[in-house]
Amino acid sequence: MEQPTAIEVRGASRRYGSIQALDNVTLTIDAPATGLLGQNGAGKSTLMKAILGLVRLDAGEVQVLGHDARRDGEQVRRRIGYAPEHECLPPELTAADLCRHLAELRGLSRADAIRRASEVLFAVGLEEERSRVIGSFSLGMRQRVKIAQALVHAPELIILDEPTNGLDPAQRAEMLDVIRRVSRDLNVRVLISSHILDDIRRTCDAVVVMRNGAVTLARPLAAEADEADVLRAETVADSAPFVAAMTVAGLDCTVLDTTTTRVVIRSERDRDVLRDTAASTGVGLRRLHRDGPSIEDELLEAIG
Amino acid sequence: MSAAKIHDVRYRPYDGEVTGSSRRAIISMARWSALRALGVRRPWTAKIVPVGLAFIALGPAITALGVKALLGTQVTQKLPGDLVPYGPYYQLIGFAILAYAAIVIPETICPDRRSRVLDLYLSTALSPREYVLGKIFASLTPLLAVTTLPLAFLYVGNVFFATYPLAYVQDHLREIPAILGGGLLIALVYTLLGLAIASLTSRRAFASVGFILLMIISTLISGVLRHAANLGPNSRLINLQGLPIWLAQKMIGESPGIIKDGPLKHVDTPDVGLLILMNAILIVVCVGVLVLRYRRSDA
Repeated sequence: MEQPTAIEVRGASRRYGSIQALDNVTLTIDAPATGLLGQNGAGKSTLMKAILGLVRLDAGEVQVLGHDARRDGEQVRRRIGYAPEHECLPPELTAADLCRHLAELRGLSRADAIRRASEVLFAVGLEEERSRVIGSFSLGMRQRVKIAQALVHAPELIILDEPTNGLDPAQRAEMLDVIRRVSRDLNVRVLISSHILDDIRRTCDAVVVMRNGAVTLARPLAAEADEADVLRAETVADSAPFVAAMTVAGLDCTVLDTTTTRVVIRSERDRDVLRDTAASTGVGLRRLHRDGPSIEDELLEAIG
Repeated sequence: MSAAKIHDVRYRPYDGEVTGSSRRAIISMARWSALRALGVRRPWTAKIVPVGLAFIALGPAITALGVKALLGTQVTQKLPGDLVPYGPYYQLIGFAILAYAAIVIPETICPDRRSRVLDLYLSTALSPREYVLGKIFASLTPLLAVTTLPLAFLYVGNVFFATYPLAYVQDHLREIPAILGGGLLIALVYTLLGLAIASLTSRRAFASVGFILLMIISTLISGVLRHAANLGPNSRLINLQGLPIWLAQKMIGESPGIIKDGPLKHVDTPDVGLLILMNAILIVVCVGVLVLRYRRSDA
């Protein structure tokens, strides 16, 4: 059965006093993992709350899994999982008890809640620690508990608000691995908010960039590899034999000057041809870089 | 960092039943909150207060039945009344009931705000109404054990020690619903009052002190009105320390026991109608506070 679109936002606006938290936001989110990128105060958290149906919009609407997030808020929240950014875990409960309790609150029977709590804690790598009280957990472990509780009722979509905040590099890498596993191996669609570009690049298939409450960029990330990549090759010697050999090999080349050539790379094979041709013609590659702005440049400009 | 990868995630898509059952959510919230307040799965120090207060409430019943057991029915039946009658029993355990409401009830609700678990709860399908109902049941059920169990225990003990148990039940049949109803009334009023005060703060200590202060201040004002303004028993209508207890006593009956002084001394209380009215007003005010505190802030 075809899955409904994860999230559709149409003309969403919300103002808090003098601050325009959401400014006529329109976007569709349907990738396995989508990153919501923006600086603090860009409107990410307000958008997430609107998706959860916890914020009344001044204008516009949010559809989540085919339901109006505000009108059918409880039904929406029953089908999605949410891990807030801030500390929200009761320190005196064990990880297993918390997951069990939240599963029951979301409508699972007691027996199913016990089983699911065990499964999700295993999935996030906390099986050994499931009987320890959360108050004794490290920050990284508490973040994993947040993901586990968000998954416990088998939602179709989970929303993670700044899941790597405050983590050290090792914990951060592990957390990103867990998030990637959730979207790839567990087939749960993920919306992750972050102000760290690298987190989004490493975990997401698409990105939405927000600034001052508005969407400034929404594009797929995975498509980057599929699209033609235009490289600029700068050689030490005259590039004429290098260009001739690459043209014979079927690559699309444009000579910019005697030592600079623009080469269109359509596949990994093209990349190999470029490298081998430079070696066989002995021109000496001084520099090989993308021609035009990179995705980082594009994202950084959108973030502002 | 280890390069090891987990390949078996042991995670299966869940195909079981996910109900939108409000009842299940309320029961789960009540059960987990009550367990926490009673100190279950927590260090023994967390169990001292709730268990200790429950035993204190049982104390007079155990003592009365113990005296009957020691002296024997032959002697106690010749006494001019009950050692500890049902109605005035609440006067003996009023401290335990109030201490329970002041100390244990904030435990069910304050930590959720303090550790911001409330945000997490409300991001699930749980509604504020279900949350509050869950907390009411979580507080009410253990408090019922303090208000109802001692009298029920005393009643069963009296039946057991009676020369003619069936005749005792026939003679005291009216007391059964009165004990259950009176216990429920006291537990409900103090549960709602305790929760309403606790909902105003995220600190348990503040909630406990607030509850105790309210009891003391209302008693003082009531005393001043009684003596200075010469209002008589009706001045007790603003004494929150006794409002539900006096109504429960009137439900059960105020027959005095053989001890007529000290904690079992007869107290002139307001009319039943006025007591019902004031208890109803108190319940409505507390529910109103809870509704205001737990409506969705952005609704």
